[in-house]
Amino acid sequence: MRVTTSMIFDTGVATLQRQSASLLHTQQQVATGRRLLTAADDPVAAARALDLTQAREINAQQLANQDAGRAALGLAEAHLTGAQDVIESMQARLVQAGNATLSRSDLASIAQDLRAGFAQLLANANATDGNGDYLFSGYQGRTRPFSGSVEGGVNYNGDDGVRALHVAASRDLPVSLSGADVFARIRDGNGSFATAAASGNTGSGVIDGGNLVAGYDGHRYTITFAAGGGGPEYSVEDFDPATGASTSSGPFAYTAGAPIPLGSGAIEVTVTGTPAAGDRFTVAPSSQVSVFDVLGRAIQALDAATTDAAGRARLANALGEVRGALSGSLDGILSARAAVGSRMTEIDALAATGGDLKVRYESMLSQLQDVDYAEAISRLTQQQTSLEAAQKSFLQVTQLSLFKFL
Amino acid sequence: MGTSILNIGASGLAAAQAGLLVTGHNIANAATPGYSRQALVQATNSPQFLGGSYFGQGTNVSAVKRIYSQFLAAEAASAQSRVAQLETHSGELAQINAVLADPNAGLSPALQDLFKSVQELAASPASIPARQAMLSSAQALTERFRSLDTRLDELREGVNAQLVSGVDSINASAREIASLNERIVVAQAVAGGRPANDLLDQRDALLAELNGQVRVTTSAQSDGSVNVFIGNGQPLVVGVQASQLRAVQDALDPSRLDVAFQLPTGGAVPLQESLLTGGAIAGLLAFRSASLDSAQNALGRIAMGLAQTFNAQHRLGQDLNGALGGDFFVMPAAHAFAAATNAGSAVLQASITDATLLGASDYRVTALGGGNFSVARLSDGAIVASGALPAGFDGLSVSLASGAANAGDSFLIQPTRSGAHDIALAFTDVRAIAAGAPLRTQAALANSGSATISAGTVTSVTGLAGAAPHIAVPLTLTFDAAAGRFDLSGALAGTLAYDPATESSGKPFSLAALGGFEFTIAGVPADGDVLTISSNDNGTADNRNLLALGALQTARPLLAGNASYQSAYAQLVSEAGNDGRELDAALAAQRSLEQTAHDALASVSGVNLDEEAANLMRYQQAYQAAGKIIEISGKLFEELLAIAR
Repeated sequence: MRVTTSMIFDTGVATLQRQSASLLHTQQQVATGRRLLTAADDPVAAARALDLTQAREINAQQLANQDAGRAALGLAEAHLTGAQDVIESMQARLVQAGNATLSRSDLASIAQDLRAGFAQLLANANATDGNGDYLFSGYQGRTRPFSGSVEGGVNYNGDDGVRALHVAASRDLPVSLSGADVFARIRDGNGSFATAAASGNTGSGVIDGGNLVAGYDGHRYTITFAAGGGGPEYSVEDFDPATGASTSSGPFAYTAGAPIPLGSGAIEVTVTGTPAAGDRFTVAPSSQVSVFDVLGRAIQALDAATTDAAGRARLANALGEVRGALSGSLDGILSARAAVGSRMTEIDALAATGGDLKVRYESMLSQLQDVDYAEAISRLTQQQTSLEAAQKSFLQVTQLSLFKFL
Repeated sequence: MGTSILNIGASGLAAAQAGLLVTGHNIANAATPGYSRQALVQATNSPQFLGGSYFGQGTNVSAVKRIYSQFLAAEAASAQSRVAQLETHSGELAQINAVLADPNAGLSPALQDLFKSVQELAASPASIPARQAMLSSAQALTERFRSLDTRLDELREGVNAQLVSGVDSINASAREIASLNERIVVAQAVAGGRPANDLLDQRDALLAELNGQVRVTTSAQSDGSVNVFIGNGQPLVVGVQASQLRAVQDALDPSRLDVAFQLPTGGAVPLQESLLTGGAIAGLLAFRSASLDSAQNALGRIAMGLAQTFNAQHRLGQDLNGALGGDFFVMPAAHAFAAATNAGSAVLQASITDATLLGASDYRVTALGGGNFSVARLSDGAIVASGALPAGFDGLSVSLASGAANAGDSFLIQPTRSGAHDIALAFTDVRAIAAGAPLRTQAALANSGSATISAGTVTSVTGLAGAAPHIAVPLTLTFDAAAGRFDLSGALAGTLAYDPATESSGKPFSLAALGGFEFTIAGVPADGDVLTISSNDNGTADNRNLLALGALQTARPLLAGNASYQSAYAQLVSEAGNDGRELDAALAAQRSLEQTAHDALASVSGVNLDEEAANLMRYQQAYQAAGKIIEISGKLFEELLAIAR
């Protein structure tokens, strides 16, 4: 092939340019730390990097959500613990109030303590978060969840709404508690049924909380006392709410402290003391009450307490009802705390996974789009060397000319 | 005899001088682009018959020849034209790639920021600063869409500007070629048909330049002129006459310029894109139709899909004022253009029926007469609809807004072209973000059973009032144990069967007439237990709708349920990247072809200075030798005179 002078120059320059372009590309990779300078460098990796970046960002956001959830749950837990302390101390006061030797003024001072506890509990239930939103009002953050008084009763103004946060892929973790669940859905009595003494009782009969022997049938039982020939006797009315039918049995002879079987012995209750004729005791399915109603009843019973035998029996009956419901309240708060605790544990587990994922995503992204410095710099050196060689050889070749010898 | 020697010497002297001239010319033009080396064509003079033999009469220069190969030159021009096309296309596409895939300037970071702010607001849904943050990041996302789109628009403007200058340069080359044709014809006629080498080189250089702009074909004429044709035979230069091209506005799409052939009568005929096969102009046109249009359409499609799906979920929520959510983004509209050349008066209207089904293509509607139309998808040429309007296809509906079309009228539908430009925030009031759901559920506190009702999901706004309360009377579900059902009262009447014995683990219900409300009842209700579904009045701490909006980030709502916002964008990036890669590979291959063709031509026509140096010596020596002949002839004459003396 015939070589022309311009070919020598053009080809040489073109080669130099090609090498310079590769060198510049490598230099940019090294300077920016990115392997992919444009999508055309590796379209598949570029698209994959976009997806991975989104996955990494979502993971980071979930970690942030976990932190927010942990803070919200921690706040709720602090107030639940406060409520638990209040209820426990009030339980102790109620046990104290059961002492039959207390005077009227002792009872009044216990009532005073309970009023303070009531107010404290109300404050716990109406707690707010940093934004001034109520913690226990469901979705209605600006609505005070519990309002009312000992005498007038306390209403729940919130709803059942529970706020969730997206803490992991397809996991919306509840981070708030509805006040109704914590404070207002207390099952009174022993959870299945509740015993009560009629308010007009005149005798000294006191009924206990009852005992579940086999299984409660959901019937309402009314035990009515009458003055029998050999002492008080009672008859039992059995009302079935499902059918509306009621059957009566008795009269039976009354022995103080002896269990009275109901519903063919499925449950039994015990009456102590001496009921007067016409005194009535009822057994009904547990209903849902609020902790404030329960405390209010206790305070009102203490306020109205008299120290005669009938009065002490009324107080004992009232406090008996309240104690059952109050331990139900404590269970409610304890289970709410347990739920909060298990959610925080879940968050911790998710945070550990999220932390791992974060590292994993970073390393995958880095593999896709970051330059391997060792490789890039050795490539840079190699390209530099070959560019220098091209430059030198170009110089030498172009210096050759016959004209030099003319 | 002496005269003859003198003549021979003189002819050798003249030839050597001509040789030195040609060599000097070659040396002087060694670096002139497009220069073809010249060589002396030397021949012996006719011999003289003398004394029974033929005696040579010296030499003469018959021509100065241009060393040139028509075939190789055509090869080189063709390769160069293709390289210019690929270089232009690849250079423009690299700009798209640089914008789209930039980890900071692309769409991805803005998209992720929006969803991040949604999640952050979910943690405190009533917080005004968090609401402002979400609006700001949504605003930033629309700005990002617009700035990407503006960048693409700038590229489109750039294509138009380059087309105008390209056409100007073609016109200038054509005029010069015509004028060179004229000079060559005259020069060669004067020289008795001998080639006007340097003029021919100039013309070839102009042709090469022209090929860099657009691929042309030439045909050489016997008088030395060439005719130049463009496209499928439109004459650009015929003899000494040059035609003109013009950049004219597209009849259908006013934003684009086409290359048109200027008619002598004054009109202009647009040259079909497929006919312009090489050169920078073809590269620009290919970039515009193959890369730019589809990138801009795909970006617009993401904007429209985002607007539609985000709006749909946002409308199911309740804002801080208790009203149902409105549109979050302004939904961009599809555009329809009537060709400027249409004879009829028809105006078409295109509207989006489902943005998630849209393709990235534009459509051409052609009137068939009699109120019938046919709609062709430009990306693959498929006829997607034909017959009377309105027609629905690909998530799009096209109807006749006014007027009537004549047969042959054509229209352009651009469903998503302006999507990325037109997307905007629908409101600026932070309270209008619909964070909560409009309905809430509750189990009555007095219930003695253990029935629970889930928070539920609103799936439509049917039966819901726009402002609070969304349902005037709450819906009450009262359990009837004997009948095993919930009796509805209040907002709706009817019953819902529920058997606590078998369904206490949870039974889903849906109330189509009441916001399509979907909820689950679980547990064992007692007779008379009440569950309520009521308007979520004052529900400022509710974040259910934000969680649903946040879930859109990883859902696959686009491309008929096959792509998330992010993956639709990733697809766009990878498509543009792949195109760039293919072009770069084709360009590298074409460059080496061009190099080969160019080298082959240069190998024949180029100047080698060493060779010229050798020639210089050869002609110098020939000149010295011829001088010696003359000297000897003079001496011979002296000898002769001396004899006579």
